[in-house]
Amino acid sequence: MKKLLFAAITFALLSCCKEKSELPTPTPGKVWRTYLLYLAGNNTLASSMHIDALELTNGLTDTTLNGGRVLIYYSLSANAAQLIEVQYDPSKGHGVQKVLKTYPAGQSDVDPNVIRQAIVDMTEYAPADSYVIDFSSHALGWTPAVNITGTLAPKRAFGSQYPVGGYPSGAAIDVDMLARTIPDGLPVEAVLFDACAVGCVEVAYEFRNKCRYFGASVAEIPSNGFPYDKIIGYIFDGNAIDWAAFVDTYVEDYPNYNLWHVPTYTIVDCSKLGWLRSVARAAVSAYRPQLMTINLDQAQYYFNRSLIFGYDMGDVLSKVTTGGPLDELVKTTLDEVVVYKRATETSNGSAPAFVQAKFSGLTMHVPQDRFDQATNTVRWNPYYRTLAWYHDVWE
Amino acid sequence: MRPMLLSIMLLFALPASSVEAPGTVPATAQVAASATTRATASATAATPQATPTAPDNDLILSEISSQYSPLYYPALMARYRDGDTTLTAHEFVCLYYGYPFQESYRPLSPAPAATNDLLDRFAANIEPDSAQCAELVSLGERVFDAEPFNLQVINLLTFAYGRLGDKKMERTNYFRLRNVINTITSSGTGLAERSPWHVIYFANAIETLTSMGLHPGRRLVASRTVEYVSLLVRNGPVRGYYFDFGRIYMKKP
Repeated sequence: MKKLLFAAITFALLSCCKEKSELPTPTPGKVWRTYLLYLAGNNTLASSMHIDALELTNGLTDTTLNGGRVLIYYSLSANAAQLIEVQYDPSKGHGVQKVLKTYPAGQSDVDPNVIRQAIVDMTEYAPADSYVIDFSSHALGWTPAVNITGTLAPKRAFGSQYPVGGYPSGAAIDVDMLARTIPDGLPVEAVLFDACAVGCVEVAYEFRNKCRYFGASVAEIPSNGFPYDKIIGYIFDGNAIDWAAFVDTYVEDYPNYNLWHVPTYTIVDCSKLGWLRSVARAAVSAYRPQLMTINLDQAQYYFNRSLIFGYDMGDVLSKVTTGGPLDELVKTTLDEVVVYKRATETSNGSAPAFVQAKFSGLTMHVPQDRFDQATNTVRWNPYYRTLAWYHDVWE
Repeated sequence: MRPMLLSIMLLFALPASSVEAPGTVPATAQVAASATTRATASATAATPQATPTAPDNDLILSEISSQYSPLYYPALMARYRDGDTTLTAHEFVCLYYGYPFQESYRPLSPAPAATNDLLDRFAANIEPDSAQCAELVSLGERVFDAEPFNLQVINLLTFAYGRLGDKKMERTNYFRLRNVINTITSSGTGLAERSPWHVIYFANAIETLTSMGLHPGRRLVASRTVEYVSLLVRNGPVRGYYFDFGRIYMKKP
């Protein structure tokens, strides 16, 4: 009996030790992880983002954070933005918000200096061994933040805000500039986008040296955004985030919103984007004439508007590599780079016909000549040629 | 022994295009010249230091550690990996001799399986066709990620990209190759124990010599960290070169 009791205690201790060992020991003066939700909500998303912040606050339990910290850059109007910490309050049984800093009124959430300051403040108010940064706002893939002369193309690469601080209505920030707001060498475990259609290889590639994992959707995201109360626990569950559980929770939450488009989410391993670059470069090099002339209308796309700036990467490349020597290489490399992806089985309403088998997790633009023309909607190529992916793959 | 043999084999077995400066001078000639005169650096590349200078570990560590320094290591390594051909000679010094201070530096660990796979594939077929070159590139980029200063791999990437007709990537990898070798051969004269060439991998010593068109022979211990690598065939009056392997032992398990 005594032996049995001893064994039971040993087992209990071992189990306990095992659980704790999954969380890293933080460096003195730091916590092991800080999560920053950057709410650039001085736009039509303000009320949804207010709910997001409440979800995050009310979703905190005594076990959610595991010693980590949650910050929100909270800007839902032209009034002064705030840096808020969400802390667990045992007396209430959920989180409470504490203002750490109030920024000057009239600053723009899409100003790179403002974003950089919020990130620096994160490292000073809540220094950590590992960070997760979640950008939430309007977005439109890799497309330019400025108006394209002679077109009606929107300008909302990331942000699209109401006028403030000398910035006009619709001001946004280019994705390459956004990536540059993250200081080099900052230990960022993941950059996530709770914003539309950022799951482009072009955007992921801009962040390749800024974070270990990159998360985004190839399609639109509903204004409700992430179900923060349900997903926040995964950020702090262990040093290695369970991306499958995170993505599944997010995508499976969609039916609650009665949506009309394809809910998707993708996690990319940024350390492997160099492999994808070399394979894509080889494919472009071998099949450039075919890529520049294929009928892209036949390719899988996700953005449910008339503006198509990205086609499914696996689908587009397979249209030219199938049967050739690069076919398998493209597929296996994409599978390695995309750590996890998920899309609902079917699409509803007016979305383009979605074929699950074609969903590779990332989209890519093909700079065909027609995107050089200033039609009434798009003229993407001049800006596209400034992106790192273009330089490293198409040039 | 095998890696050394293979390194010699590779650098000599490659077809001419693999070791030529893209479009111009044969790499072996150029690297050899810059190694001996230090005055023939490419106009586009980093200009080697005029006087051979032993790398100062403390200085390099302080330069690469400050997040606000332009030499901050993560930023420097990102530029190197991205194929930035504006990196200067001093930046290459910080890159190469700063690598031993990085967690990923494991000079005494066995080569990753992918490295052996890559070299075996090439050794089995030194006249790859386009599809095989694409595979070599794909595999080579993976190995380069794990071993950014494996000169055999960079050389192989130069060759494979060149064979694919990808001049930009051929030049990028040639730039890396030539400047890492220039960095090594600028770290001393290599002619005396007190002025050795400093390397961070054993293989880099052999690769440096083979890139100069020389035939390395036996390695003889000269001091705690310096070894003398004799030449099978004299290089003029020179019978061998001194290499400092001290950084390798910094990570001794």
